[in-house]
Amino acid sequence: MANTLFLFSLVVIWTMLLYHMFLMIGGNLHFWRFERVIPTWQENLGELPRVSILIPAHNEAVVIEATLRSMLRLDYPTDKLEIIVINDNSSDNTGDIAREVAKKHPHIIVVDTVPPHAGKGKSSALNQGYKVSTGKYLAVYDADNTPEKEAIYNLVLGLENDKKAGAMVGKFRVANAKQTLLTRFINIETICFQWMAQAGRWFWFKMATIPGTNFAIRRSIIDQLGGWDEGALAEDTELSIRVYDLGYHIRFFPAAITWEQEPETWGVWWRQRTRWARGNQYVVVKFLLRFFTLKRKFIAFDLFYFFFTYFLFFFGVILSNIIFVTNFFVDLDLSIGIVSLILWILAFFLYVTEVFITLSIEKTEMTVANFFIVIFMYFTYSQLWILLVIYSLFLEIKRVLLRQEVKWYKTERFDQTKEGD
Amino acid sequence: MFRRRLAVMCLLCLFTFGGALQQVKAKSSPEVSHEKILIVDASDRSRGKDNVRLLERLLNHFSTDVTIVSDNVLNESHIEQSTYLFYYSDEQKDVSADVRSLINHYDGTFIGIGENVDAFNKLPSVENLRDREVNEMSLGESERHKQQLDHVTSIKTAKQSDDMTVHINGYIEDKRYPVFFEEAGDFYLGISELFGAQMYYVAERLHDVIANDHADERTAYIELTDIHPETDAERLEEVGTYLLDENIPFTMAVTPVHVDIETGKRTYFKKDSPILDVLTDLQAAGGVITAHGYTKVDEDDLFSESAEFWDIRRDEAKIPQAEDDFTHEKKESFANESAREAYVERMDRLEADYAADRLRQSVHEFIIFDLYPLAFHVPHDKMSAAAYERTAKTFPLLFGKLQLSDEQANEAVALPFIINAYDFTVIPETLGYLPAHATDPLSNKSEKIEQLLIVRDSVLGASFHVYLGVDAIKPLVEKLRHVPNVSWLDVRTLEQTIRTEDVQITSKASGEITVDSHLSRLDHLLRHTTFTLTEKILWGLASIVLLTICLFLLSTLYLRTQLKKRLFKERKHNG
Repeated sequence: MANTLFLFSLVVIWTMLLYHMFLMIGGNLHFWRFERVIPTWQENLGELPRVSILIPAHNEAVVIEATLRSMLRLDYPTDKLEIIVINDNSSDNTGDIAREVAKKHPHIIVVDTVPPHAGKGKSSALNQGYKVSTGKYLAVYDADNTPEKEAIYNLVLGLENDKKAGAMVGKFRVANAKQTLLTRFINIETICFQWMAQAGRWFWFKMATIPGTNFAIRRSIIDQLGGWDEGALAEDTELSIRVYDLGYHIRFFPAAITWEQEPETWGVWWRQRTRWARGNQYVVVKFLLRFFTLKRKFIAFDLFYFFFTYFLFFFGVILSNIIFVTNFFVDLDLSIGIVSLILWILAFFLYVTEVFITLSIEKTEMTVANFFIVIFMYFTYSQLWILLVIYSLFLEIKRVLLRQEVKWYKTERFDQTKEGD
Repeated sequence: MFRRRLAVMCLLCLFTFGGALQQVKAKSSPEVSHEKILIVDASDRSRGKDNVRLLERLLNHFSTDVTIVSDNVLNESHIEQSTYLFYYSDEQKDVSADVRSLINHYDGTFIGIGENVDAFNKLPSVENLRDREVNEMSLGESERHKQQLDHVTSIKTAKQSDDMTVHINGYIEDKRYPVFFEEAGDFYLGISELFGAQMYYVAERLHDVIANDHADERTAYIELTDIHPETDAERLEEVGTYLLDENIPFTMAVTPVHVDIETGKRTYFKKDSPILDVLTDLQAAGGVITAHGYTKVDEDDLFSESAEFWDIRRDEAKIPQAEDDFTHEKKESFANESAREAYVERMDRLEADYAADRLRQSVHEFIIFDLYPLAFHVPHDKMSAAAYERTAKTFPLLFGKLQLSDEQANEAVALPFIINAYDFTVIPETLGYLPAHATDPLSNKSEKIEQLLIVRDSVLGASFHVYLGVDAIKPLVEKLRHVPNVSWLDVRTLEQTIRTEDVQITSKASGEITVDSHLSRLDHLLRHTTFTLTEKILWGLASIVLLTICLFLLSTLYLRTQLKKRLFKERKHNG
């Protein structure tokens, strides 16, 4: 029995690790190749189309002005650009600040949500913005973002040239990476996620997941889908699957870069990540239940990936840990000997080398400090994810059983200007 | 290097029996003298040579210094230091004047066997030898131990005289003939065929020829045989526990690697497996492990159960696989004697190398699992002289039968008593094993025991397959217990050292076993090169992951070397 369970956990864990290893190879190859298309694309690019940037903002007074200023610096013709701030039920002066900036810049539009749509979460806010938007493409940015000048241009460049792409996904970087140990962890995590999961999946399968920010999607698709799913906590993952189902692919194009804030305290991190985990668990269950109604069964691949990540993988890790600890006290007569220990060691080195590659891609990130943080992270931050997923699963099961309403937790912002002074 | 000391429960090893007969004591072999014994071989036929070799082994019971020399090359130097001179001939022929002269002038004890003994001036009665046939024999002039022979046997006999002391008589119907007699300090044996029941009479009467102080006491032992990783652990435990309860010391002939001769699949002992647990427990309680080869059968020649040290199909000794191009040659295929000697020398070396490798692997396989073999039992009792010599360097104690010749693996012989040959102490398996399907498996054992009782210090050694069950061994134990003047052999109380390059096992008279092992943990890990399918997959996986990790490291280093170039390119792009 113990042997079967141990073998099961090994299979589950290593299925995931091997898949990630495979993705990392693809991610690395994508890094070396993604810029090759740019010269041709630029040559083919005709007149720039109109783009609507949607910025959902709920109590974003701390950051909204800086975000709008950075939007104004975008290297894109202002007559082709509309920046829509969706002031969603803010109790602070987010709307006032936005309107103040908009006075001088007519291509900034401030939309205030009103009941019954007010305070219903990000999906609902995006739908409100989408209703007033006029652009051929809809770009989404979180209210704490600082996109690089060429971000929108690059997203449009991609969509104009890659007709099969339903959405163009850019890269995000952590603006407050050096603020705390937590933001250092998150910085490493996000870099790794994008070059491994996003770039890797794009390279091998022409798949990526739409993130919460820094992406552009064809208006026609949103029209067809009837907007964002307001029941989804992870509206980005949910949208990705529906885009695939229409027959499009989602392209990861790291030339479009934005910088965003990440949680600086553990409490904020815990709440934000719980929302993500629950959101993804919701998506997996939603689409696995409707699997046979999906037109493109290839999505199943990605769904299983999420299923593995949020259900099987963590279950495997927990099971393996239980067996490991139990074996100290009771002889479980495990028949798989030394090779399991070697695989454990290799898993660690695989993690380390994968992270090293992604950090090296980002030029200035492969530092001595990060070298040690990566190792430290394996035994701390990474392990914390196990608790987080269990907690999220518990909340999600509770929500379904008690038929609770989906409540969107908005990530708390940190005023970088003040802290910088 | 790690050193382990196994403190064996000495009390369990020191048996004290209530019965008057059984008293176990440390006993390896009787006192062995180094008196020079010379056998002059005047036989020309291969059967005669076999008889000479059997005689040599029988004499090894008394001395380790036994030399065989052909009558064609006999010279003064051969005989001048010899205390005893045996002359053997199995066919009538002219004896050369030189041989005649050398033997006539020999003043030690002369023992003539078979033909042509009348050529010498040693025994007056051999002048008029007569050919007769007998079907029974006895010791001496009385009818002590008078027993049937295997078949009617030809003898040469002389008319009994007053000056003659008869040591063996032969019988047919109501007639009695002296077969082995003594006159004026010299001896004559009128049978040239020593194999068969007559061997026991000869073996016993050699005690009257060679000076010795051997006591009238038999040694018994039981060997649980053919134990390997696939053996039924429950049966072994039942039989072993019974013997322990009965205070019978016993050995266990264990092959550490089982090879399925149909599929070639190898099975090793596994940690915490029932069979290993039982073996370890029995060893701790006093049972002795005997190494029964490494894999027992020849893995390169499956489907035709071939012996580990002997290629049965080609009837020649095994040599390392790498030397396969080195083919065995027949004696007549050499141009001259020196070419033949060079070949024999190389062949001996290869046979010894092969044996050394198998022994090393066998011992190491045992050590991994904390089993400590104290003796060796050659699989199928087939081994060449060179391999025996090499084996003796590792194991001083050998159980089983002894192969007499390298030229062909004729039936190995169980000598009636303990002998010292090739630097071994050889404990013979005289009673063989209990057959599986016989209606009365002990019936032929009774007959054999009667024969063995002819010899004053014979060994009554039986092997037993544990699959026969505990009820099958009980009559055997009872039978051996009731043999007059018998004591059980307890190998554990023998002082000896078992050696390989990396391992030394020392057993002391107190029953304590000390193990010095230079095997590293890595050796232990690498010994088992066969894995289950799951393990194979996992090792394959580990290899792929390791390669990928190396690839990732190289990629990281490459990215590092390109850093300046990339930064420069970015600055240029940003203006």
